[in-house]
Parts: sequence; structure tokens; C-alpha cells
Amino acid sequence: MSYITFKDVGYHVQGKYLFQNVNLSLGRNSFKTLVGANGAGKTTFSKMMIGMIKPSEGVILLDQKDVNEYKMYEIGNQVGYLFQNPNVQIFAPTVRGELGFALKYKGVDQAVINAKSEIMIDRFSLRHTLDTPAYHLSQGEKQRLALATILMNDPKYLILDEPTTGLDQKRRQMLAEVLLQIHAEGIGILLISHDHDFIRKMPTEVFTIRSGRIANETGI
Amino acid sequence: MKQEFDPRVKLLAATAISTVGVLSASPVLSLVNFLVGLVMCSIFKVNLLKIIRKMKRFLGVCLALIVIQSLFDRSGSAILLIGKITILTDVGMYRGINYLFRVLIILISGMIISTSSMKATIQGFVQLGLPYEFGFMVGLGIRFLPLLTEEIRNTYVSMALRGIDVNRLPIAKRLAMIGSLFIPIVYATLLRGKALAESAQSRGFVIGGKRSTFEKLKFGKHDYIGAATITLVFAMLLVSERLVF
Repeated sequence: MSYITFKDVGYHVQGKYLFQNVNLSLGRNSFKTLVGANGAGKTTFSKMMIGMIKPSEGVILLDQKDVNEYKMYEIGNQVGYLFQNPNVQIFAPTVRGELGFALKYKGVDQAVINAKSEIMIDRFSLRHTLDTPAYHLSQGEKQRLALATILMNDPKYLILDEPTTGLDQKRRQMLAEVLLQIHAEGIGILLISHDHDFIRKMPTEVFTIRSGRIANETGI
Repeated sequence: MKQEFDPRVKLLAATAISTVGVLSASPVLSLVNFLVGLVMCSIFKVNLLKIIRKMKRFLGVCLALIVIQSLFDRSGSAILLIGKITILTDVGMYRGINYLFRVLIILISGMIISTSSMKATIQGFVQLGLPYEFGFMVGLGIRFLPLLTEEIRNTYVSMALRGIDVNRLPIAKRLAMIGSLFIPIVYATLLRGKALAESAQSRGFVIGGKRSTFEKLKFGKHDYIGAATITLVFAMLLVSERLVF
């Protein structure tokens, strides 16, 4: 069953279409990847899925309801979004503070936050960063911290915008394993990436944005 | 064919409306100044639709500002009370509206200057006798404003996507959360500034170095008329600020 549905979606800037007539269904347990040249509209496409950008035409349904009818926090309770630049999503000065940031405000018990944080610290190899201010972490560490923080929220679907940026070979391999685990846990994933080597390792259906159209190109 | 105005005329216009905006203590004068600013926008071919869209986004913030002004400014008569707490006073409302117009005037000034290219704007500053670095800084500020706006928006959405219903939080927690928003914004701005400085230095840009240019700006007849009109209108607004408002 479709979790995120694009119905005749089009988006144009000053009369020029970035894409149009997009009809796409993303299942709750699906793993899809979106590729395309710089400026093709990949990030715009993904931001439309969280209601950050409104489509010029058509409608995007999230769990059968127009995504623009949700409040942003309601979308956040269902969908996790990893921005291309992890700096925009780090709000606390410490790694532990960042991991527990949202849950603390939601009134979750500190013991539960600590337990979940420990799992994420190990899962994303963040233990060596615990004494480092969050803003002094490397790009790759920030990226992992941002992803770990998103997963603390137990999302049903993940949108990852260029998650391999700044990751070395070992960390990319680690990220690949984590994504496979997450997917096995029943969380849907939309990966936006240029990293074809990384994509090839994933059991994912590949779509390309080209000349305003989205085509299935699994097996690139 | 309509002629393009010299960037110095635009700088004069932006300086004039900003000055009246800062000096004005009357919401009526601020409104007149804002309307004059809008007329200038159409003369300088600023995309007014873009301003209206931005103003729509600001509406909530502006209303909040009016209420905040009232909460902290105890003078004037209460217009809106909840129990014994004054939510809105007439003086607070006037000051809030005045503040709103100031913000809009700054927005308009920036948009007027940005209708010229960065190079032309810097040249305008230099020919006005201001240091090159000053013009360069203003030009960079204008050029990076959209990027910064995008980053602030991403930060805000990223926080909203944490799934926290801010409206349900007690006021202290709400303020703490809003405070946390500034961390990534300030950090991103510092990072960008650092990268920019390194990039400029790596290209041999130094403060105080002599620079030459082939292109010189020349005032045309329409520029003289424009500059004279702007000076006259703003002299009238400044005088009226003293005599009428």
C-alpha cells in the first residue's frame, strides 16, 4: 500500500518546469533512490514530500492525506528528513544533548532517552565524540549524529538527502549496513544520492529526474 | 525604452527611506514612507509580488511583535485584557506597527539596491567616495542573503520535523527551544563568513589595496531628475516629521 503518493505533481519556477506529471507511489516498506544531475530538482522533490515546498500542480499524499494539510510537527512524527547540510539540524551543544533533544521536549522519561541514546551511540560509532562539542565534529560525524537523532524519533519513513557526503569508505560501508537494518525493521527509505557505488550496494529501485520527468532506471 | 538608473540613485533612495524609517516615531509617517518606498520599488523595477509574498510570511511575526511591544510597554490605555493581564495597549500597538514598517523598509531598501549588479553597486560606493571594502561588504551581504534565508528556513523546518508540538509546550520550554534555533544559524553564518574570507584571501584580496577599473558610472539626465526628486520628497518627509507628526 502506498504511503507517499504523487498525483500529477508538477513544479515550476517562473514558468519553467523542474518536473511535471509525476505519478509515483512510495510504499511504507519501500527503498527507493532518486538520482539526477545537479539542479535537476532532487532536493526540491524531497522537500515537497515533507510539505516544505508546495507543488505548483497536483497533490502529494502522506498516508492518504494531503501533505500540506499536516502541521510540520505531525509530519516530523512520521517522516525523518536528513538535510544535505547537517549543520542545520544540530541544536544542542553536546552529542548526548542532541540525541535526546526532541524526546526531552516531548516529555519522555530521561531513563528511556539515555537507553535509546546508548543504542544510537554504538550503532553510529559516536562514543569517541561524546566529550567533543557537537559543532566541532567532522562533517561525517555530524552526518551520523543527525541521522542518529532522526532515528531517536522512530520515524516510519526516512528521506536522506546525500547522506554519504563527507563519509570515508569505512563509514559509507557502515551507513550502508545501518540503512539495510533500518529497512529490514520496516522503515521506508528514499535515498537521494550521486554516489552510484553506494547505490549499487543497496536493494533499491532507482529513479532518475531528467528533463522534467522521473523515470525508473533500476539496475544503473 | 526605459533607462536603467545609476546604482548611486538607488543607494540614495535606500538611504533616504531607511533614514526616515529610523527617525520616524509616528506610524502614519512610517506608513507614508513605506508607500513612497513601494512607489520607488516600481520605478526601480523591483519585483513587488516577491515583497508581498515575503510580507505574508512576516505577518505572524509582525502581529507577535505588536503584542510583545504591548507586553513590555506599560504606557497607554489597554485595548485587550485577559483577566488582569494587559495583552495590547494603544501605545504598544503604535510602536509595534512602527517597528513593523521599519522592518519592511529595510527589506525594501535591500531589494532596491539588489536591482543593480554587485559590481555596479560596489562601483557606485567607490565613486561616492566610500572605501571599496564597504561596497564589497554590502554587495556580499545582498548576494548571500538568499542563501542565509534558505539555511534559516532549513533550520526551522528541521526543528519542526523533530515532531514537537511547540504550542503545547510551557512558555519557558518554548523560549528555550526557540533559543536553540540560533545555535545552528549563528554557526552556519560564521562558517560561511570564514569560508568566504579564506576564498577572498586565496585570490589575493587584501584590505586597502589599490584597485583600478575600466568601467565608470555616469549620471544621465534621468539620474539627476531621480536624485533631485528623491532628495525633495525625503526633505519634505523629514520636515513633516518635525512639524506634523
